[in-house]
Amino acid sequence: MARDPARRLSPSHLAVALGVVMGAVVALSGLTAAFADEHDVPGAGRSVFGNVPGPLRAVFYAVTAALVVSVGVQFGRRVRNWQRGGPESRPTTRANTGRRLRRFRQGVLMGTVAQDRAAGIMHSLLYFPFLVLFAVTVVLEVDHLVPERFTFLHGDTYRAYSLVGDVAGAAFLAGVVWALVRRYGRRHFRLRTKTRPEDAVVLGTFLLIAVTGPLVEGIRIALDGRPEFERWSVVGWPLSALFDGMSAGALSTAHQVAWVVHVLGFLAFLVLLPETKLRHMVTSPLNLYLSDRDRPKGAMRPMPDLATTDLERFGAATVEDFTWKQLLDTDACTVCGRCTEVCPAQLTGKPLDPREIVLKVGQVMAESAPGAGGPVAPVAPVVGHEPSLTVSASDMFARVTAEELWACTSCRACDEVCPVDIEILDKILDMRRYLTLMESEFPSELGRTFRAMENSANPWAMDQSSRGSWTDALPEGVPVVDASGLFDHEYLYWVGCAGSFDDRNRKVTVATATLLHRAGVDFAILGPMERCTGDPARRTGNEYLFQMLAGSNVETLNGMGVRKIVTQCPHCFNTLANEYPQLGGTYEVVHHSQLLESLLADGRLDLGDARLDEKVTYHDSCYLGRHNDVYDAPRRVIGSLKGIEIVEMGRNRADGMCCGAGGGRMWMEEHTGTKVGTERAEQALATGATRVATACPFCAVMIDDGVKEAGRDDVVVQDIAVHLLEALRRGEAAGMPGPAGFE
Amino acid sequence: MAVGRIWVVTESSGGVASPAGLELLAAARRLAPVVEAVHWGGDAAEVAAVLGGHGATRILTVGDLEGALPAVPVAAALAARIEASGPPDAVFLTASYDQRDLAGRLSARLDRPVLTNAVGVTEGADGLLAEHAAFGGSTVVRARITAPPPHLFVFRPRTFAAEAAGGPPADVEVLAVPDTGAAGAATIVHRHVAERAGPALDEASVVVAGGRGLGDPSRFGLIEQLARRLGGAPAGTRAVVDAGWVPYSYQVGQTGTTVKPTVYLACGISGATQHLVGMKGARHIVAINKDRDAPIFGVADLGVVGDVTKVLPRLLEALDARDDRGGTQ
Amino acid sequence: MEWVGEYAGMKVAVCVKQIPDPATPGRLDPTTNTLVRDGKLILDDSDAYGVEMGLQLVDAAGGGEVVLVSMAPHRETGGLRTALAMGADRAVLVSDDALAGSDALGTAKVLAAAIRPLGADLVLAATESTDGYTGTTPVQLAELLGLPSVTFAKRVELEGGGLRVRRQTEAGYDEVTCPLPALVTVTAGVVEPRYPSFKGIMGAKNKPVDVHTVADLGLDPAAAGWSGARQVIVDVAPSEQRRAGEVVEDQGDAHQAIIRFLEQIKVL
Repeated sequence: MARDPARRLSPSHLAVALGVVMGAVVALSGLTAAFADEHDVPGAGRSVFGNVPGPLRAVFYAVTAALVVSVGVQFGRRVRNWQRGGPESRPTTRANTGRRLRRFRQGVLMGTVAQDRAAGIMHSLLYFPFLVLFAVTVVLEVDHLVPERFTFLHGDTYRAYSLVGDVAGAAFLAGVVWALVRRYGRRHFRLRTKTRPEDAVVLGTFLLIAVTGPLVEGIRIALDGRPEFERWSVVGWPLSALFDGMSAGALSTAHQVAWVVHVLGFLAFLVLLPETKLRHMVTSPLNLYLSDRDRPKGAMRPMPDLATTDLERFGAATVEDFTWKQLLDTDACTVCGRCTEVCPAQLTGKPLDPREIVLKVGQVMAESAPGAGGPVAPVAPVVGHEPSLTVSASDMFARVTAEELWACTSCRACDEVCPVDIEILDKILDMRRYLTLMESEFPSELGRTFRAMENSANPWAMDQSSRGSWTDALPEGVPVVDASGLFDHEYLYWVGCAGSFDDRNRKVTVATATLLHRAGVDFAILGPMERCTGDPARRTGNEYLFQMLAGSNVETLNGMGVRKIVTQCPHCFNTLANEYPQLGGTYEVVHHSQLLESLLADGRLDLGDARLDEKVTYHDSCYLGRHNDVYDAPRRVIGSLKGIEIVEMGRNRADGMCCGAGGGRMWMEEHTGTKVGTERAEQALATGATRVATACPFCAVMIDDGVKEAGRDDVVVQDIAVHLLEALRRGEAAGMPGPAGFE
Repeated sequence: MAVGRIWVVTESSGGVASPAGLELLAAARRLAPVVEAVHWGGDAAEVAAVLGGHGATRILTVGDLEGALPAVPVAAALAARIEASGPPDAVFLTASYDQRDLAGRLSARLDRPVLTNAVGVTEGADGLLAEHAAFGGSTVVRARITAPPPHLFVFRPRTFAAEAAGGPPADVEVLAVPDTGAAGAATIVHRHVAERAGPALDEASVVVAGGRGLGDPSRFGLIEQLARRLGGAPAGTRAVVDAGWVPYSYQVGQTGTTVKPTVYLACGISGATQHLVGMKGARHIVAINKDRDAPIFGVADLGVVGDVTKVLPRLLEALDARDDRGGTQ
Repeated sequence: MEWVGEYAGMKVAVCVKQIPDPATPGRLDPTTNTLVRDGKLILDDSDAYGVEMGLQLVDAAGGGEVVLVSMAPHRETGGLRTALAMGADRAVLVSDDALAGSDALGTAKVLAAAIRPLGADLVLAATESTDGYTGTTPVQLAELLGLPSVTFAKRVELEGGGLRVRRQTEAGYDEVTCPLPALVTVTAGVVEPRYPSFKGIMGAKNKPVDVHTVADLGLDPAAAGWSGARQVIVDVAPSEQRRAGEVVEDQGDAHQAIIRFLEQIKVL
């Protein structure tokens, strides 16, 4: 799209041109109709504009044509707003066309919306009948305009046509009523909080169209003397009975009034389409089509090498700092609030609401559009104007607060649930980049973590030389490689800072290493040469620190020719696998759950009599799950044990709730509201599980804290590897005389 | 090289000599036949008896300083005295706020090195040897000054036990303060005595911290009592702060306060990394916890495996009993 | 705020120490058996407070300059760059092989020689460094420069052409007034040191660092380094006092073990 805003012909012109072309088509068809003779309708059929006086028809065509052009102009203004954003490459190539079309299809076929069933059905009842009814109208118009010998709407075709139109009409009305009930009757939280007058206007317009449509038809059938073939108009026919017996004059007047009202409803729709969130009929499919991108879900937007770049501005603080796609995103928002509903920060009383981030970016974009400041805004904000909330400049922080941004755990639940593929997390992280790199504005405790990572290569300022000291617990030891030679083991075991320094996670490291030894996997560690991957720095906006740490790690890994890496930390996993390629480090990275799964499947890791008679619930790590789509491996590993009963929490897999530690939140205080970890621990306890299995060092810490806070010290929270090893040891002990137990 | 004369810097307030000076007098007395006390303030006559009783034969007093910070005028007066009457072999100071300043001023003025952070002193063949603790107290490093006297030593408080010697009241010699010029211009305009019971958390030399192992918020009182008893500050883990037992200002750890006290008593704290990060800089760590495998024992110099709710009351009782017996072993 | 003009152009010298980067694994020197760290030097954490205080005071004064003064081997500037990134304007570094082994007084003499020509209105330092903690250098420096000093400052404000300082005491704090020029040492936590922004980090690369040798400063080489220290380590012996890492099981008498321990470390 907008690669070069200076180019003469820009996408915004395309939108205007489309509007003009379609308006011209409307006008032309009006003219054609005016000069063409009325078709003689033989047998079953209807006469278009029957009973509608000529001047009214002319007005109809003229106004519709004008409005269609205005829709194009309005969308053109919006596209011009997106073009204020920076470049981003989303080309359609031979490789990605299939994926683009698939996602587009999923969207327009309501696949994404229907993930919430009730909402999906409701929306389908609005959307599909709307399309059908629009097609019905167009078909009628086509039939109306073609030369008489080409007309087709008669006989059985007409009967079927009537049936389809009426069923669609009935469904549409049902959909509108359901939508009204959902929004105004059930007062669903995510809808209630963002219901604005325009929602009533939109739904009212739909209701008007849905009610007057069949009414016009019913009166017309009555006016036509209720011919038998119109029985196929399953709604219009019974309605026509109501008007049976009225005088022809009265019927004619009633018909004209109903027709005018119906048409006014349609014209109102044209006015509302670009001006209200109804615009998502156009923008959402476009956004879905463009959603496929050239970086994995877990990777943040790459940045230039900060040590050498000449750029002087980083991150996002103004509309212009975002990319065109990030701005298009905001116009695709349907304000459905699903992101609000799943956001762990929002659920625990923090100021962050992902939907508000989208809306605020959209609002600043709309209100700072070229030509803004006059009495009539050139571009309407995503949702209605709130006069108290005007912004004069394109400054994001006029509306978005730092507190909101720092509350984010980067769990990606919002992006994952969004039915129109808005990339909310990227926006939050880009604004964090601005705050950290440009303003040094972040929670003060984070400064300590930054310094620790800078000076000690780990976020706790632990003694880097003791990074490999966990191997003391292994009698057979683990080979430690340094950067001087070529790497000649199968796997490099990337232990991570938590696994190296945090006491409880060192147990996970020892268990993982023990299991790998048992399975005969040849692996080595870097010891003090391993530095923090930089994930906490990157996700708190400190790209400079990230590049420092990542650069030195890539140098170490590439220097030794490391190819395969296993790690137990999903954050290390994600950064190594998805982000190091941005810095020239490409490796085959597996999470320990995946490696253990394959070792179990191959039989290389023999479980023997391993048994764990416990009820276990598995907590999904965001960076393993949503960021990398690994849901089954950890479940299969823990599920491979005899005696185990797996129970799922209500929120699991892609809907799993964050533990509260991601996005650098591990190193920030959580003063507002309740704690995310506590909330998640309660969900785990509610399953009645006796154990919680985790696959991330930070999840383990957070959930364990929450479980202890709930006073449930009896519930064991541990990594899958620890559970597995315990079961193995129990099985072995059971085969021998003497007490069973785990060291 | 026998030691003949040692000056011991003492502090007093309202006629009461501070214990640190009496402790140093006891040490100096064992090393030198002549021990003289350095003093400032208007109460020299009032403390003459107690300083004499602890072995000082003479009080060299600078008198009332009228609000001036003491280091500059005292150093100037002592330097003038040395110029006039010769130096002592050594000057013993305590690591208090004022005396650290005094050590620095004297050192620079006399152009003599100073050995600080001493935890002991012995007499060697070539003069006094100061003992320094290294590597968490597992090693003693002994150092000697090769410059001409006076040799300056700054000791940590409570390095020695005060001991009365039964001597007569010390003579009082008033030293004249030469003009100190601009250097002496810092003036105390107001003394603020803190209303709180103990030192601030990040400045306390003793920190007593409680964790979830206490079981119940009401038992945090044990932590407060022990902290008060040891002249330290009470603290808590993130868990007890989050649970609302104590305010955030009590929190020690990665996202709370970082402390570096002489001793940190961790009571019912398992030692999550986020907590360890905030206190691993403590010179000594004592831990009480039920769980033998708790990570806190990995960093503790003394670990007690036991129920903190039982150990603490007994500890408080024993400290009271010890007080009644009158101090040290 | 009527005093603002009196300080305009205030020059603050901040003494900073650069210490070895703990992230760089050290190696044992086979001849001396001491840990050698060849890696870069970083800014001592406790000096970040002084730098921040200097920046804030110059800000409050309505303008001026923060000059870093440091002494380090091999012309190391790693830690200085961090402080420059925070916002300090320039740095003076004294680097000379002859300075190896300098004691507190020797260091003070070098710093005094480096600071004297600056004509600073205020000299700031940490109360003590993280790795040495002798804590006497700043006051020795004040004496050599003939400046009044206020140590252990918990709060520093400009007032009436001079300073008003809250100085930590055993009992609480003293309010101390002091004319300028003066030397102040600040305690950790007195201010929250800013984390340098990326802008600051980039800008720091081009800020001037003047490097001096002992000879440049007109100092006597014999007064510096090992010979100037005039102190020797006599011996190193294991402590008899306690074993590290002792764990006892409570049999109803563990409180006695705690009391004994506290007595050993002179807390009781």
